[in-house]
Amino acid sequence: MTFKEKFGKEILFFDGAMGTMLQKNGLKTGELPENMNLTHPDVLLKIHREYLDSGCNVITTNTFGANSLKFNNVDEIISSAVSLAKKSTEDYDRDTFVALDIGPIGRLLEPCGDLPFNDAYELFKEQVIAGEKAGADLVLIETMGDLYEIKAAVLAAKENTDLPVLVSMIFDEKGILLTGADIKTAVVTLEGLGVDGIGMNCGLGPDQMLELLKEMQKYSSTPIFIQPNAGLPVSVNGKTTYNVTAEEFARKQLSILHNGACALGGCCGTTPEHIRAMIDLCKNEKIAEIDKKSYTAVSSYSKAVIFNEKPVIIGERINPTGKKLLKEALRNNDMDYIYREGVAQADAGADILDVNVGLPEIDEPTMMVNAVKGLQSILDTPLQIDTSDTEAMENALRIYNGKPMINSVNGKEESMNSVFPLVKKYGGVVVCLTLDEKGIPETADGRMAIAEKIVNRALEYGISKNDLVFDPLCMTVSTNKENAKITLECVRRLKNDLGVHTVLGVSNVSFGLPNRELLNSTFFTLAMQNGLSAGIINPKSEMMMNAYYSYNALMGYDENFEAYISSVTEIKNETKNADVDLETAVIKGLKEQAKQETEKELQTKTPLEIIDGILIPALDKVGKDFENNKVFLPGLLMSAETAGVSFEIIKEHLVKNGSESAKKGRVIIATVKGDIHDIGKNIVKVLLENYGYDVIDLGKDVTPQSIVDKVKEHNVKLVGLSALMTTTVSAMEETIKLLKEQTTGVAVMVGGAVLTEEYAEMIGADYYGKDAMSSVRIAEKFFLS
Amino acid sequence: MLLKYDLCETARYMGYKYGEEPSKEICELIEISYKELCKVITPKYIYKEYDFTRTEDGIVIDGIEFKSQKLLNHLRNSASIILFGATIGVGADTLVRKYSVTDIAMTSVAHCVGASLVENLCDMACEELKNEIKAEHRPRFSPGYGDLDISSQKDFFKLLPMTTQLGVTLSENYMMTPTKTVTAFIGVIK
Repeated sequence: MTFKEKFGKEILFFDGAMGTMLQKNGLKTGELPENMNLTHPDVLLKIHREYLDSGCNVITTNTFGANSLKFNNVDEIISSAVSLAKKSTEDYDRDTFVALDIGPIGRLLEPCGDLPFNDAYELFKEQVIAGEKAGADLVLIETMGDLYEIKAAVLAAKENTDLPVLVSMIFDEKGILLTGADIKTAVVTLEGLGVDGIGMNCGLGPDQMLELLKEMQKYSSTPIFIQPNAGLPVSVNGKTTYNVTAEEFARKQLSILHNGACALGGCCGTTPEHIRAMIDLCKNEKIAEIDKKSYTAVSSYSKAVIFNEKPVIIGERINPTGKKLLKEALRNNDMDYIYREGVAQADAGADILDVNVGLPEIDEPTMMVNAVKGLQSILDTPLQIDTSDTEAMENALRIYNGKPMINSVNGKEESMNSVFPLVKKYGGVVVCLTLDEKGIPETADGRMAIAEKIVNRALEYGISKNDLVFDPLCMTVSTNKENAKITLECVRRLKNDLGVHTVLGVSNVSFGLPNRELLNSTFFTLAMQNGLSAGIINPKSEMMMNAYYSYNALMGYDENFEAYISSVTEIKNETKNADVDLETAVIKGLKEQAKQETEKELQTKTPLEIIDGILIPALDKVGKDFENNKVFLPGLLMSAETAGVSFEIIKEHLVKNGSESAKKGRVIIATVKGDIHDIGKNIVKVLLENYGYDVIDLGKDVTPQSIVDKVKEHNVKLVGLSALMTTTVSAMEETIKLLKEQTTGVAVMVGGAVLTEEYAEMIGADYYGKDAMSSVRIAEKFFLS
Repeated sequence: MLLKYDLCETARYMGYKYGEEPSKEICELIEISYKELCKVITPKYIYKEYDFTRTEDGIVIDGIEFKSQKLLNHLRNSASIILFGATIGVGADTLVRKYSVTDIAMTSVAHCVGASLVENLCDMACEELKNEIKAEHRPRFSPGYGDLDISSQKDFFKLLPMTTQLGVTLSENYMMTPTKTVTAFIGVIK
């Protein structure tokens, strides 16, 4: 029988610790354990056989860290490890399986660390291909603390091999992964990816894992396997030891088995004795049948949103339709504008954020990937990938960190054929529009028929009803007075007859009528009352959120009325400060006043008069105080931030009137290759922008060549480079050299903690910026001359 | 573990002179970012005690050499050495990243408060450590300090399970993520 045929159906036993055993057999501190496959094959055979003698069915190869960041002979190491494991099983007259062991890479992925997702994928790909070729029976991805790294590994295994894929994670005592996901989120994400087994190993002993297992059981419909340490590590005279004896370990694992695990093994500190005792005690036990859970959920890297009776708010603001400022931001690649829109909606109460960046004149697949990457690096709100471009959808699904919403599929054959395979492969909850080749049916019956067709087609692709959320589409009542009623009937029937969740873009209902918010919010309440699961709305709209909070309060979905009360009191708490003029507001960093005063000034002054007459002089005053050590960095930045609020209002004013703000000059800034600290660079950016410069921010860890390419592409004459460490100043030097070689007339200013005037000169920079303000002074000087 | 920031130290990281008090507005920002940080940080630390031998220009621990005259001097009364690592976790970095698009002033403030918090964690941990090892110890001495090259982080990570137990990883240029992390040698006086 194959591993897949057995796993989850009968009890299986994995082996125990490898590292502990290798140390006992001569592995020294600092040595790479995987080299032992080549230098000490006999030791590996011995260890595997000891575990097999204990009664294991599954043995794990000595390949935990065998990736090409650490080794230049990955293929050799993995094939020898797999061969040794296979060889050791030859003498046993029972079904045994060899698990290709894959541990974390040892470098954290972006955005927390510096390893790009695709690089991680390539590292894993090399490992799994070597493992399958050498004859492994399954891929065991273990001791994982980051969902994103897991996704890279699972995709690599599923796309490049036919082996079953098991994923085991390392949780802390509270059941949280290193990058913040709880058990619910981890299960939702892993099931989305379609892994064959979900497990826990390392970090904790069996007592702690038992508690976490109970939580895992609530959400998982996938077989669960548990490999605890022999207790929690205890430090004795600075040495780490594990205290749980073999007999204790066996008893505790039995209890874990009774609580729903279908395979057992051990991690740090467990020995063949532990495994033998465990198997002796558990081998005649039957495993419980896995009950299939039925719920609809999406996730981010650390948070899951489960659809239930309380409606879910999906923020609709990241969508250029009808939004001039967002369109402009997209054309100018002003990603921060998009991110701020995301943060504002999340702060206003959005559970999920819709992301639509489609504009005819931009490269949507690239923009979608950038927007999703950026948003998920600062927010834990799950995203809804909203595009009709299949390439953009797939690219975004690939790099999304979690299980996303996908917007959308519809009843057209072409749509289902292109979207469903992506949903199946990457996981996700997809919005299903009840329209087809013939358009949107006018009757509820017509829309229900399409919904049923979609459910059935999804099933053919192996997509469960739980991963479909239906949008019965809302047409404006101004063209047919029955439209709202038809939609409400659909919402009701979809929920009651078809047993699926529903979603609506609520605001269409009022198109063409005055005071739309009033109709929208009332319709929203009606829809919720008819069973709507999720509304795609503007969470920054007070009326819409009032409808939402009131509905939850009245229906008993708001424990102690907390959300309702805080939504009402927030408004009352808005403080009114004494009148100050715009200049004072900027100097003191008072944002609310700056906003009011700017609007007031715009009634009598031109934008240019406000900028040159008030804002810049105010910033200059603070800048001088900063240079004279009377104001310090946070004070300078508070003023910059406040001036930013004012600039934003002026910009809105300009866009409304169809004109553009004049820029003083264009500057490219970047943190150099190898450097991931970008606070300094971000500060410089804000200050330069405040002073009216057009700043192109290339981000952090940017290669010399891509900086040069961008300089050429945008014909930029001033470049700002930042580096924090002595080790990365060399990348700065290399960038300057390349710029001087490949461009002419480009000046470079440099800054960063380790730089000095002399150092800057030595590496060939034209200007040295000792602090944030000096970048402004350099730009002023440069563009004047 | 409830960590606290040191206002004086935090202000110093921001550029204030020692003992100079930030304005009321800045103190408010500090307080807000401290509260936000407390929601997302996951403080953890580990340590491991080793015997070490002295060479002419450094020390050797378990066959691995660390070249530094300063470290050698620092350890002159020490009988053994503790390798120590502490981090407040990835949450602080995510928060700082979020601030960098929403509020640049808060970025710099949260950055400084975070630095003060990890220092506080180290101080608290070293107090506990003193009780556990029942001995006095020297102040912390970190890779990258003085003549101990930053590249020694790589060897430090071989001796202390920073990645598997704390989730701290090292980049090619020896930068640690999460960024609010400290590694240090501590001499034990017995």
